[in-house]
Amino acid sequence: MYPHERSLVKKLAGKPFAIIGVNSDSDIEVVKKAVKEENLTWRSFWNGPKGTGGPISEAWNVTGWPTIYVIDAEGKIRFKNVQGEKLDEAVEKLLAEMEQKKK
Amino acid sequence: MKLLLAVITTALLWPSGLIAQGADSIAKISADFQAAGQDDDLIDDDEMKSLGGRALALAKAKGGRVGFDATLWTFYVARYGEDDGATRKKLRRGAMDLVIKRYANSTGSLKKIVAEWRVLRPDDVNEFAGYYRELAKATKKAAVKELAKAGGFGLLSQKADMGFALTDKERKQMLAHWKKLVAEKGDEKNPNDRAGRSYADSLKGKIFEIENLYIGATVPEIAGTDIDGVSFKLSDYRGKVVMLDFWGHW
Repeated sequence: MYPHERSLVKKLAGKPFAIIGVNSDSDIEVVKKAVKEENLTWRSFWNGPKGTGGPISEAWNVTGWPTIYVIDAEGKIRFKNVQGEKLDEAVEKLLAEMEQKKK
Repeated sequence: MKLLLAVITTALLWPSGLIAQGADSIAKISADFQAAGQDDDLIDDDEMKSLGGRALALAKAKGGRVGFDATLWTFYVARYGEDDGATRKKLRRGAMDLVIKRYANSTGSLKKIVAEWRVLRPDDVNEFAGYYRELAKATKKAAVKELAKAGGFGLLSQKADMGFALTDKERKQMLAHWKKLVAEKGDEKNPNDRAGRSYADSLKGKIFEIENLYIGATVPEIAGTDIDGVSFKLSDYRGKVVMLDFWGHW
């Protein structure tokens, strides 16, 4: 997954787009190391020491990883669990909508 | 004596050997399916048509274990076919006719069959919901009626899990169903929950999801800390397109 996220960040640099993670590793040191070594530039909430049983994923009923939501500029959920090309298309569609609204 | 034995053995083996060579089997269908799908998650439409047709023919021809397995294979192949919805439906219809005829009162067999009814496309929901209704009508068993009812709600849940938008009506149905369960049996152990929680605990997340996390809903707030311990909120990013990614480094 990391290469895909990296390519999105690179492709959409300068656009109003952000990846926000909810990291579900139980050991914060593992996450810190991964972020450094894999050069992960996006910000993540930490789901806490319970890992996949932490409060955010629990509240959101997340049972599979990765789980992805794509949210538009107005804060509406628009896509869920899109991956690969479909994810790129979803994000680009929402960015294009923003451009349209500006005009 | 030796000669006689040889003649008898040949007579016994010869016809069955002949049939085995020409006849189709689960093993052959399975091997051809593996070969067809090895480059991709899905198989080509013409492969779905041919493999699914073979599975259905075998199911119709044989009873017992082979006929049952072939029925499962028909649903399985149809699920993995690419785009040809008409062929997919035809295969499932054929298998479904056998299900009604042979297994409508066999709870154990039906559990295996309905496990093959997985929602991969939004249209699947209506098709499978129809099958559940047929089952409920055809069966004499209360356990099967129960299974059919739960299955109908399971389809909606699967649809939502696949990221397809539920209609408002579907969301309301699900919500009413779950809230009723919590009200009636809140503290009882939910037999369908793998973690062994009570109805109230196991359905809390599902209810939150269906009330707040549907396509078109305003995203709920997340307030927490980042991995350096700095507080922030999801709404800090309003005005941007956000990919919210539940991830782990494992």
